[in-house]
Amino acid sequence: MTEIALGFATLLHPTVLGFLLIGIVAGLIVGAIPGLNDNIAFAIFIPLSFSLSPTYAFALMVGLYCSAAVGGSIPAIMVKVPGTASAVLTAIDGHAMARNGFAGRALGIAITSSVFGGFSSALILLFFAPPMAAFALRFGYVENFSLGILGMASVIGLLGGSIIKGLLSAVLGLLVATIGFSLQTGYPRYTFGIDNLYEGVPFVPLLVGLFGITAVLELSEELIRDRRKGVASPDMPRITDSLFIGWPLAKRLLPTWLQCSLLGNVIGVIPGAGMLMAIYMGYERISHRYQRLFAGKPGEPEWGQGAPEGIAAPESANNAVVASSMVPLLSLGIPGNSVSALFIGAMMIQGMVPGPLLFIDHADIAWMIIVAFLVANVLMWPIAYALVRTISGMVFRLPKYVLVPTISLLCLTGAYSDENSVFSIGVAIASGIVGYATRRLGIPHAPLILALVLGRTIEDNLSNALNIGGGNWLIFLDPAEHPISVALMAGAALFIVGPLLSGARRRFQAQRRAAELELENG
Amino acid sequence: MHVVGIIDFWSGLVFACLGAAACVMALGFDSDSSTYPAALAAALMGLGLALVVKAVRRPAAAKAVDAEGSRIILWGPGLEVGVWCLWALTLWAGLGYIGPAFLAVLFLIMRHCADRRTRLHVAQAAGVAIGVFAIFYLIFQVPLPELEFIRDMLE
Repeated sequence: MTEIALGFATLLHPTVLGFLLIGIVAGLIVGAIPGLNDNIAFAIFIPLSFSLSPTYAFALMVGLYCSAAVGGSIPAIMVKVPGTASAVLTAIDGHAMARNGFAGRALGIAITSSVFGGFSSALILLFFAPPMAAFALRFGYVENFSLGILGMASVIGLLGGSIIKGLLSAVLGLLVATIGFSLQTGYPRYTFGIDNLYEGVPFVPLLVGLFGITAVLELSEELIRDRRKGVASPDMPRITDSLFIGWPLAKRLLPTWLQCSLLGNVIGVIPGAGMLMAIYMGYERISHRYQRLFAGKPGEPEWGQGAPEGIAAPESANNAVVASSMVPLLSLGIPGNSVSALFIGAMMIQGMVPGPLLFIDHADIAWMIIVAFLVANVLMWPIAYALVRTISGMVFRLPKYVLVPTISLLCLTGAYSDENSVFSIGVAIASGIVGYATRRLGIPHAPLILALVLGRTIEDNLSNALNIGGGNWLIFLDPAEHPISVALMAGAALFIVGPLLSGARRRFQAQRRAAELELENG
Repeated sequence: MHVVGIIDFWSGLVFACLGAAACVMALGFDSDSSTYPAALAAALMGLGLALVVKAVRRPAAAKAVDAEGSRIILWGPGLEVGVWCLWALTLWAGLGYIGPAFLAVLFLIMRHCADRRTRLHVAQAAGVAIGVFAIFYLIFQVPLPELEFIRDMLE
C-alpha cells in the first residue's frame, strides 16, 4: 500500500497530472489520424523527453499510449478507415452502425469498452508486475540470458508467417547491437573508424528512424498511390444521436467486456503477441456468442452489420493489451510490444534500467507509471466523450501532404537533438530506409527491435554465464543448479518448434487432401 | 519463380552476403571479442541461404514485376529520402536550419499536393519550419545550427 501511495503522490502533482491529460488528448488526436499511431508519436517525443523531468515524460507517454487505441476507433467508425491497426475490426460493425444513423452509440460503445479493457489491464499491471519483479531479482546471468532468449523466441514464434524471416530479423538486430566497443575487452567492432560508433549505434536516432522515418516513407508511398488513383476523401456520417449507452446495453455487453479483457490481458503479458492477435481472437470468440444469443432476433442486425458486440469485443481486447504489455517490461526488462520498446528508449535516456531493479532504484517512477495507467483510463472516459465530436471533425481537415513533411522534420530534428550531430540524422535516415525495406520484404520488425534493445544485455549475460560455467554451454540446461533457466529455455524451444510443427502438419494435411481429390477424380 | 519468391531469393542473397562479410570482419577482431559477432554473422549467412533455398523450391508462376510499384517507390519514399539527405548536407555545411528546412518542406508539399496553391503552400512550409524550430530551439533549448544573424535576432 505504501508503494501505491508513493505512486499516487508522484502522479497527483498538478504538473504531472497536466502532462497525463496532454498525453490523453494527444493520443486521441494521433490515433484518430489514419496513418499515424502511438509508435510515430513516441518516435517524435523520445528525443524531447530528455529535456523533461522523468515523471512528466512518462505521464505524457502513458496518457498517449492509453488513448491512442480509442482515437483509432473514431475514423474506423465514422469513415471505415481505421486510425490504428488495432481498430481494423471495429470498422466493420462500427461503421455499419454509424451508417444506420447511430454513430454516437457506436462511438459510445467503443469508448466505454476501451475504458473497461484499459482499466482491467491497469489492475493486472498493478497486481502482477511488482511480484514478478521481486521474483526476477533472484535471476543471475544464466537466468537473464535464458530470459532474453525466451523473449525473442516468443516474439518470433507468435508473429506467424515465416520463422526464417523472424530469425533473420532477430539475428540482424543482435549483430547491429554488437557495433561499438566490446563490453568484455573494449575492442572496437564494426566501427569503420567512425568515432560516433564507438559506443554503439546511437539508440534514439535508431528508434526514431525505425519507427518515425519508416512510417513517413510508407505514408509518402500511400500519398503518391492515392494521387495516381485519384482517391477522394470519404464522406462522413454525422453524429446525431447520444454518445451515452444506457444501462440495458451496458449489462448486455458486460460478458463481452469481461471475456475480451481477460483475453487481451493474457495476450498482452506475453512478449510479441500484440493487439492484433487479441482483437482477432476476441472478435472470433464473441461472434459465436452473438450468433447463439442474438442473431435472427427482431431488431438485431447480422454479425458485421452493426452488432454492438462487434464493436465492444475488439475495443475492450485492444485496450486490455495496453497496460498488461508493460508487465514484462517493468518486471523483467523485456518489452511486450513495440511501444513498450520505445518506453525502454525513454527510460535509457533518463538513465534508468528497466527491469526488477527499477522498483528499487526508482520506486517512485515505477509506481507512478503503474498508477498512471489506472488514472489515465479513468480520465480517458470523460475526456473522450467530451472531445470525440471535435476530433472526428478535425482530423479530416488535416491535409496529409503537410503532415508527411512535418513528421519527417520533427523526427529528424529530434534525432539531431540526441547528440547535436548531423551523424544522428544520418543514422535515423539509414535505419528508416532499412525499416522500410525490411517491411516491404516481409521481414517482421518486432524481433529486430527486441534484439536491438536486448542485444548488449544478452551478450553481457552470455559472456558472464560462460565465465561462471568455465565455458560450458550446458550451464543453461543444468536442472540442478539453474532450474529457472531450464524452464525458460524449454519455453523458448516451444515457441520456435510449435509453429514449425503446426506448419508441417498443415502442409501434410493439404498434401493428403490433394492426393484424395486426385484419387476421386480418377 | 513466383514474384514473392523472387523477392525472397534476392533478399536472402543480400543477407547471406552481408553475413559473410560480417563474419570475415569479425574473424579479424581480437580472439575474445570475435566469437559472438562471428557466430551471429554465420547465423545471418545461414538464414539468408535458407531463404534463398526456400525461394528456389517454390513452384514457378509467371508474374511480371510491378513497374508502376517501382515508380511509386522512386517518387514517394525515394524522393523523400533524397530531399532529407540533401537537407542534412546543408546542415552539415553550416547553411543554417530554418532556410533549408523551409525549402525541403515546401518542395515536398508542392510535390505531394494534387492542386497547387503556391501562396498557401509557402505559408504552410514556413509555418512547419518555424514551428518545429521554435519547439526544439526555444522550448526544449536544443542548439540547432542556425545562421549567425537569425541566432542574433532570436537572442
